[in-house]
Amino acid sequence: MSTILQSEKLSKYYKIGTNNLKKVLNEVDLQVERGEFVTIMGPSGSGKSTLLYNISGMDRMSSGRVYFNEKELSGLSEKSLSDLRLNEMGFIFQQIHLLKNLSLKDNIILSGYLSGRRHRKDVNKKAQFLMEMTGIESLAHNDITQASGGQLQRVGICRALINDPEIIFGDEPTGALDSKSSSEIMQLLRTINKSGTTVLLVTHDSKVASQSDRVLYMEDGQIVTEITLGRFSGNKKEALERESRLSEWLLKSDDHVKDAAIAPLLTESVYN
Amino acid sequence: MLLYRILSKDLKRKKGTMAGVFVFIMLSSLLVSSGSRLIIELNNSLEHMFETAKVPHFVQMHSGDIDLKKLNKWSESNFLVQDRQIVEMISIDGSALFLNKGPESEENSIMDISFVRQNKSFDFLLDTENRIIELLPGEVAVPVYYAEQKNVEIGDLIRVRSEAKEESYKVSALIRDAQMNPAIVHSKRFLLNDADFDKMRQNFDQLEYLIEFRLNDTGSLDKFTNEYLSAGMPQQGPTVDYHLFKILNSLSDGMAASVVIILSILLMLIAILCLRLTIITTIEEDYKEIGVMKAVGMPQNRIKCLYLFKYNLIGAAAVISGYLLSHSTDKLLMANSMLYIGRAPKGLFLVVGPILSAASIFLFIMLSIDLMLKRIQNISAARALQEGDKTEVPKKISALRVSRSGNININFFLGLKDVIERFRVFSLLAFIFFLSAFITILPVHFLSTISSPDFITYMGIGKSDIRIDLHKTTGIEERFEEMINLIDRDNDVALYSPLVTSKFTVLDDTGHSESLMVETGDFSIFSLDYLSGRAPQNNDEIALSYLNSQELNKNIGDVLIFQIEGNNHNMRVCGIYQDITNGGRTAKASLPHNKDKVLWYTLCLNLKSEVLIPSKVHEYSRLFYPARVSDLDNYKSQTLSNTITQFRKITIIAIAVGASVAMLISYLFLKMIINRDSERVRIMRSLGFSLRQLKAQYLTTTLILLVFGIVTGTIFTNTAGQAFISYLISFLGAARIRFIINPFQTAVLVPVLLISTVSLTTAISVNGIKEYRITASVAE
Repeated sequence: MSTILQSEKLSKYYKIGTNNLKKVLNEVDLQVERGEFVTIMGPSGSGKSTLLYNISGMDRMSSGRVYFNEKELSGLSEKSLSDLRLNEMGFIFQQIHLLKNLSLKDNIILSGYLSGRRHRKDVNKKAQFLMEMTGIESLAHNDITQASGGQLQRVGICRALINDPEIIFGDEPTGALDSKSSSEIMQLLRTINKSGTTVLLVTHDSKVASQSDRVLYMEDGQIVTEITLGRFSGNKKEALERESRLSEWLLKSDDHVKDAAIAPLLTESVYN
Repeated sequence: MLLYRILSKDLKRKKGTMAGVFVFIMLSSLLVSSGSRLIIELNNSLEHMFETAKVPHFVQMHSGDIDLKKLNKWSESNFLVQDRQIVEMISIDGSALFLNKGPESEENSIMDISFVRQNKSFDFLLDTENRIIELLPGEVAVPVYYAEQKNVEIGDLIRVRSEAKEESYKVSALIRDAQMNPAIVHSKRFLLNDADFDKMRQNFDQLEYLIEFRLNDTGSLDKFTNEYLSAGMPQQGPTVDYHLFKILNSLSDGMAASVVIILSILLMLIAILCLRLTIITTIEEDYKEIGVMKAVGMPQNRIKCLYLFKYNLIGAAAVISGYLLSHSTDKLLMANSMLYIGRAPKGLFLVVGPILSAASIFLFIMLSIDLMLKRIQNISAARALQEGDKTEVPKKISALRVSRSGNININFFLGLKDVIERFRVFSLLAFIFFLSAFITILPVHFLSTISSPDFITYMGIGKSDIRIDLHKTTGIEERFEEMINLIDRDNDVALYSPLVTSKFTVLDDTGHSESLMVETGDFSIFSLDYLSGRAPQNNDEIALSYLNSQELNKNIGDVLIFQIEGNNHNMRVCGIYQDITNGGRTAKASLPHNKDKVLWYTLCLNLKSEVLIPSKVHEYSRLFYPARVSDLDNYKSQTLSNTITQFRKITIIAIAVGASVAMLISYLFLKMIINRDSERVRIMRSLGFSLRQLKAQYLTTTLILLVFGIVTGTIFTNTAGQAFISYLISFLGAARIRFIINPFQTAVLVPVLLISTVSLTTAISVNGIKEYRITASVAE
């Protein structure tokens, strides 16, 4: 396996007033291997989503380095970052963020048309394939108001996959879904991952995280610990085992955090 | 305190926009104050000048002998007459007058130049202080027209050359001549000391008379005119009256004042549009806050007051600033009227009028703001708090699905889709672009029309290379015959047509006789464009100018009764043409001319193609002295030069206004739109749309709207605009103006100007989208 994504001392802080800095990420080192399924957990405000957006080039980091496919992101122009997002990355959001003025199918194919790497007919074929795979082909010309949350998230996944990205970033993709839809979406993501696409998710949900290969735990802007769970076969029994293993580890992680008392971060009282 | 905090926060947030709104309201107030002041001042000053100069109510110009006994007897017996006088004028040819030190005479001038002495009882010639001019021997007073057009200044020497000798006079005053002030009046009076006048009379034998009357009541002017003309009083020359003097004097400034006021109303509407866009954006930005205010029980009126106070304060400050500033711009606007007419002592209305006009602007803006803020009522507290989203989902058109975009560039397609699906929202911008195009193209078209040599069509003149005018001189008929013979023999001449203008008596529908100025000759040689019908072809046909046809109430096929040598002669109207010369009241017939009442002789000619027109003009000027020889373009540009210069200025201003309006409104509108589209922009950026591509989408949208605006604006200008201009000019004698369009200006210059302005503005206004990142909406 080769490394697809790597961060070195990645920091992000916001200015508050004239002198104070609010540090959201504090020198985060992270490495994701090609084909891996990684989740990031941690309490609210720990910096999970900020990490996701900074390592994906969606947001500009304050300091440190991020390498994606050996390209250093801070050195790339706005245009190159856009190209990267368009052709090599896919994003799935909790709020889904579909364009209201487009039909469901148009939302999916838009990035494909924009990319221009494939003929538009092939983009349409690919969209058809993805919609069939996710079971939403009958909704192709519907408005976004005519679909359920689960269906919309499938549209979001199809959209993320239309340009065959190397990595999918997900920010709480199941956060707003009921448990049935949530497990369907996870199944889809596992299928995508099996086909070779790297997946990096941020989640609160240990059930979701337990299905990934590796779980990172964040606290106060740093990855404080991680656990490798290995490949998930999809077996129900195995799922229960992984969940309980993760729960135990999370309890430990909490203790570990308290014990570790990351002094420099906690003194940044502005951060909560 | 709360109000102050909200106000200062909002002003900081929208500095640029509020400054724009402020400037527009201020300009609107400035223009309306200045425009109304100009109208009031013009009216007052004109009255003042007319009173000081004791303007005659009725003037008959006359060349030839006067039967004084008969005239005196008739005048004394007419109870309408309050006072009368006969003004002697020494008519000199332009070639005898040298205004500047150089050898250039006024040979090419189209003005009828005459020298007079100061009148004793009325029709006084005034100086620029509106004082009756008194001159010493050797001094001359020169019409204001020459000060403006030929830079003649007090202290200059002018020379008058007769066959016998040359005399110099020192300019000691500029004349305000209530009768002949405006440039469109082709007669100008120079004033001499009585002794100098008598001396000059010995050198120039050509005398013309102004038979002037002041009446007891100007209301009976029409009655008096009829009585004068039907009593067989001297009438070899045009008849003019008090009303015409007033119209001619106030024409150019009155038009300027109207334009200024129309411009001010336009600016006010723009300010209101800007305010509307600003208020909508503010309310959309504050959507949630308004919801919270409502939820905590703040009364609706109180919330509305917070906004109302802010915008009214800005409106009031702008209106007051505009009014105060208008005092400093007055001089600029009134320069022309101050020079030609002067200023009357200030009255109360001159102070109150502009204040009232500015106040009406404020009132209108206040009411509009009140109406705009009604949308606060429609915000539901629950919806605002739950959804926090104020945008509506536009109706989708299936033909505009991305999947059906074929091979069209996706950013262009999205821009196009947006325009069509959200046309209701974008229609305002489309309307503004239409308006900008109209404001810009209308004056450009009109300017190219009046500047074009083809504008001669509206001056009742057929197209020819050279026009020779021979006014009343001794032995005029023989001179004219001689001229025809010479031209007939001249091998350089390809074509010529002699025309004679004389007065005929016609009977109107009620049987009253009227005098009609008729040009007679063969009108098939240099043909004229007729509004309807054609040129007269035989003795029984007559073509009327548009204004004459209106006043005589005669149309094609109607009969007009001429009294020729005591017999009635039926003339059928065969054509109606446009003519803005001679007060727009002329006629053309193939009759033999009325030898007793000849006004002037004209000869139009075309030269062979290899002959140079200017050298021929020069040759004929010397040969046919004192006839006035001019090429038609020179004739036209001299007659209209003032109007063209004024209009060029107006056109430049209009182009600047049109472009600024397009710029400002598109800036504000796009600011509002990108604020509404923030979510969409965030999503697109997360999908990989670059800032450049997103800007291209907005640029597509605005350019499609702009092209729509330019096309509809051009069509509207060429139809309704043309009709509007025709309506305005119809009062001067041309009822159907057809724009003579300069294709480069219309198809290239104006569109390129508007497109580059709007493109630049779009690029600047949508620059704010770089602040919209998906991370902002998911910030932890």
